[in-house]
Amino acid sequence: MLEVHDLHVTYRNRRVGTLSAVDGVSFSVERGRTFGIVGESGCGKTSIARAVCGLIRAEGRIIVDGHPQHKERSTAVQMVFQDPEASLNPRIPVGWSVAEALKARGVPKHERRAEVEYLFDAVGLNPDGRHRLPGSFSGGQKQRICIARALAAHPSAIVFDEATSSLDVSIQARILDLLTGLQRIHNVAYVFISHDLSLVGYLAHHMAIMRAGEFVESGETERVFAHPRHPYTRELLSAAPTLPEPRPDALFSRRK
Amino acid sequence: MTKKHTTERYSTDDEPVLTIRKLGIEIDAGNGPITPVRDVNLTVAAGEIHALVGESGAGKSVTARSTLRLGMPPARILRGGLAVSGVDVGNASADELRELRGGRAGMVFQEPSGSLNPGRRAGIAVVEAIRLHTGLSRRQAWERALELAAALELRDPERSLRSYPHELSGGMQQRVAIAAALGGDPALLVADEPTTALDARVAEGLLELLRRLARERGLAVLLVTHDLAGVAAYADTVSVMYAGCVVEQAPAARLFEAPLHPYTQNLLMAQPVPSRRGEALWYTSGPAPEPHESVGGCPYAARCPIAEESCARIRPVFLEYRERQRCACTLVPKYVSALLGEEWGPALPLPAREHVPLNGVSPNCGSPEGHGSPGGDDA
Repeated sequence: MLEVHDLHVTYRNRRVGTLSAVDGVSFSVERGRTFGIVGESGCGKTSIARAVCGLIRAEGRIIVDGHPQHKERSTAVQMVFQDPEASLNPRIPVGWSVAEALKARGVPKHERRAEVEYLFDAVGLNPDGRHRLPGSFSGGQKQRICIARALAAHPSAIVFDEATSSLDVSIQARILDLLTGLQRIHNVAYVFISHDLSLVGYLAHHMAIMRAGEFVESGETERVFAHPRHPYTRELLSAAPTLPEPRPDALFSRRK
Repeated sequence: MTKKHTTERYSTDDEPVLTIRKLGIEIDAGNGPITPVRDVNLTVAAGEIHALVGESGAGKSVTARSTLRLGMPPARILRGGLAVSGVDVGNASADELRELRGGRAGMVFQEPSGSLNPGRRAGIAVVEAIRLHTGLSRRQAWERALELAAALELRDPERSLRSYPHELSGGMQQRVAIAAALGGDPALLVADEPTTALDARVAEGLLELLRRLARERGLAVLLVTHDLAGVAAYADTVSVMYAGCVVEQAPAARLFEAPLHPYTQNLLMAQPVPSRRGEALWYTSGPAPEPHESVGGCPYAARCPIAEESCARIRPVFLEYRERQRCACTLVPKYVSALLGEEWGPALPLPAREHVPLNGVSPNCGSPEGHGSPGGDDA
């Protein structure tokens, strides 16, 4: 379980002075559940993600499975970024990137290979591809490698920061399907951060709406969509046009 | 508040502003030519918003850019052609081309910062566009730019136009870019993912604005986008592209109510929306045909969930199944009575209306006409 209590992130800048990006945010996610955070650009979503993973300094308490997290980075919370291009070293084979995470967890050398192959298989990639460089994979495949790397650390929670935003819709659908499957098998908590209200509405069990560093509203996803309490939530919901559902009898039955 | 699709207020009988016929585009990519656009047919009438949707690599942007003959060379028109207000784009002279770009057709891109010079005040782009195409004096052009800015709902037009691009928000920058694109008073606006970089509320405002411009000024809009919900709410007509081909074309309301092509169905059912919570989304495995591969039959055959053995061989015919809903799939005739119930009319091959003087249509171009009867052997 991931618990975040009263998180504050402030940036100091010589010209602007102090800038409060996250201003007292609290939430918790159980293993096997997904917490969604929705907000417009600049609201502080990414700062939360980075603070929870220990990538930037923040005030507040972050507790993972009952253990308070301190300043040093831990592997208990992993992160998958928006741009898989930028999060894989272009000069080292992708299998190494995943093996590094195993090494950090203390997996002995002779076991790493089998584990890398298992992880590649789990995210739907051919294990033979582990010798190739990131450049020879498509965007969706690279994102799968990043997911495999995150899982390699045996995390309690994974933070996804706009992880599917740059992917095409059919690839996104496959990745989302993969993520729900992996969550069930590995029993991890997900924090899913996105500007896409509709996506979070599809995926998250609980969600929060964020504006200017604060959660204006949080609760069960169904409740937030059906009975939004805060005017800003209502504004966001009414601004996003809804996709009409096709007439069910007009669809081919799905044969795979 | 859900926006309902409004009735079509443009007339489809008039000569369309943009006509694209059997368009195929080839790009020499160094290691052999690729064909990102294989077979595109569409028209955009005055006052109409025509959305071009599909996944990346489907050829949407190359199609959109070809309307201003951008990127040619290295790209070249392989077959078919296109016309903007009667001017054959493929064969336009240098003078006609100058008149076309900005004069007959304006274009906006995904990144507004790319359309504006970061070192010059934003309004200069608008003033220059106006002066280039109208011959107005600087002062008159400035007045016109202010009017345009006001029409585009720029807050405090004077101050916005005097600002540098970095002082404006993304939405405001995009509005200035549109003002510059409209400076030459074009009949056609080509917008290549204008809302992708914007927040949802800002994007919504921009689409609303585009619709108002289309309705009030009779502007024809070709809108390339990934935002299907936005298309459902604001576009009049939709063309769905896959692997360089338009596979389905229909008035927006009809397309979203009863999508006919298996790819369109897949595209719609792959969207994560709150109403599908707990359900698996639709997706198909396998890659789309690469732009350098030649496609014998249906380009979607390899990934299609209902494909039959013959699909890889028989090129589907683009047929009209009910008023203005057209699709290219050999299996749809088999299912259409189940899909559309009472509504479907007899599937008719599209009338071969030649609007454009076409340059060099090759006989084996795989265009709709001349490939068997509705349903073919499989019906």
